[in-house]
Amino acid sequence: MKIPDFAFGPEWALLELLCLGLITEEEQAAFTELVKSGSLDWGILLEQALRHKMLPLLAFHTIMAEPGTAVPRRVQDHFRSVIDVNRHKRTIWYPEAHKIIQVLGEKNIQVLGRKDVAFESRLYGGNSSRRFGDIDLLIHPKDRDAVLAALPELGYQPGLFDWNTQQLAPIPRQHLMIFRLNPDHLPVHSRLTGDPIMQWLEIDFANSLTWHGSEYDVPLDTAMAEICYEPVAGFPGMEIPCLTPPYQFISTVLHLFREAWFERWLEWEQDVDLTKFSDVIRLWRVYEADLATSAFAQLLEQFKIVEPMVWVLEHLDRTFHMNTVDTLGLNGRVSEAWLFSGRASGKNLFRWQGSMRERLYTKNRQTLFAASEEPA
Amino acid sequence: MEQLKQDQITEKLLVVLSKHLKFTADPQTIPLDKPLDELGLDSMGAVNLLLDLEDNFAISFPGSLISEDTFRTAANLHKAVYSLV
Repeated sequence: MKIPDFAFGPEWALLELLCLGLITEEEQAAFTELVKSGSLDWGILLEQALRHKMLPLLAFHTIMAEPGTAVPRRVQDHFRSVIDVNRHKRTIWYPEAHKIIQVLGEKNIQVLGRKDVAFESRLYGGNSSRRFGDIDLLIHPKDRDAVLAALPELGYQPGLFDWNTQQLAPIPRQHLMIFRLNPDHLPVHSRLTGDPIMQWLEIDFANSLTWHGSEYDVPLDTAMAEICYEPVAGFPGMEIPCLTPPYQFISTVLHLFREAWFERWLEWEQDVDLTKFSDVIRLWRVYEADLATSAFAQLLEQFKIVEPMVWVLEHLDRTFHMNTVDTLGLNGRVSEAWLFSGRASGKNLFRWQGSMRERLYTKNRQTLFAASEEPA
Repeated sequence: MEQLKQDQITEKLLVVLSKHLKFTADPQTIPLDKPLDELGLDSMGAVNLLLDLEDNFAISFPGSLISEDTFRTAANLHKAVYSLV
């Protein structure tokens, strides 16, 4: 692990440091030094933090670094307000996630926390520094109908919040069709809360660790057979059932792969971002004892998911100066052509250019995606 | 009469379909029984195709017909459209 260089400017180096987790004293010192240096362009930093869904994380750690006059006063005010809003959201968001899991559990439906529901407390300190979006949960495909039947009892309906009318609006038909043709998630369900700050809650139920029609498969029966419980910081006694660390890691990496590899996510402005890499890095560092093992590498072989896993981990190693691929003994398992491949529509493969660091940094990623297409 | 209707639907369907296939642009050469994903149609393309078919045939696909099976081949698609016109 090395402190990021300044090739893309001090603002970018600061965001990469945040991704690493500020775990070591060296990282913390480098972060504080940068914040206090007076060399940061706050306009650039705020824009990149927004693009990468890192504004609360940046706000929290900047304020905690006690920057004094190094941060413009108005920026500090805004950061405090971002933290306040996020703290408030957390008081609604976590109890809701817990309640849904409990209520469905009483109906013998196994529901596990995914993504931030699973690891906000352990990986991000439970201090409201991670952005809160929809509530991500995992179910077995056999329970899809039972969950759909139970959601109205919990006040949820298929729909999305319309900020202009302050009401829920039906899911556009086109989106419903996508859900129907790709049954790896339930259609998004939402409910109004009556809270002036967090006016609505949205749930996203996944029922696969990969995606519909994928050539890669991780059997959910196996993944969900053994689970663990994550205590939620600030809520005594509250625990969220989750996949065990190896499966959490697989799920998070494959999620990143899907959004980075399929061109359509770029078209939907949901291409891979720093937060997704941050989740993977933090999982690796926190659960290294479970992951940096031959048993875990064997699991990847068993599920035949070495290719997509190494696609992500190799880019992660190169971008953040880590060593995950080597640690897992997976060096040389994929080609450079594979690392810079993606999938366009119609199962075509295409090549993208530049490094993952450039791809994350650049605001117009289409310029990196202009390479030739070839049939799969 | 029935056959004529079927043929007309087939002809129009293949014209619409051809606009959504990456590897086959000519409606005359679309094999009815070949999987459409092998001709370059993915699930996102299927959504756009479905909307296009609804416009062209003035029909509305019910939920029961919005399935992978409907979009597996041109023949399956024809069967679905024929049931709705």
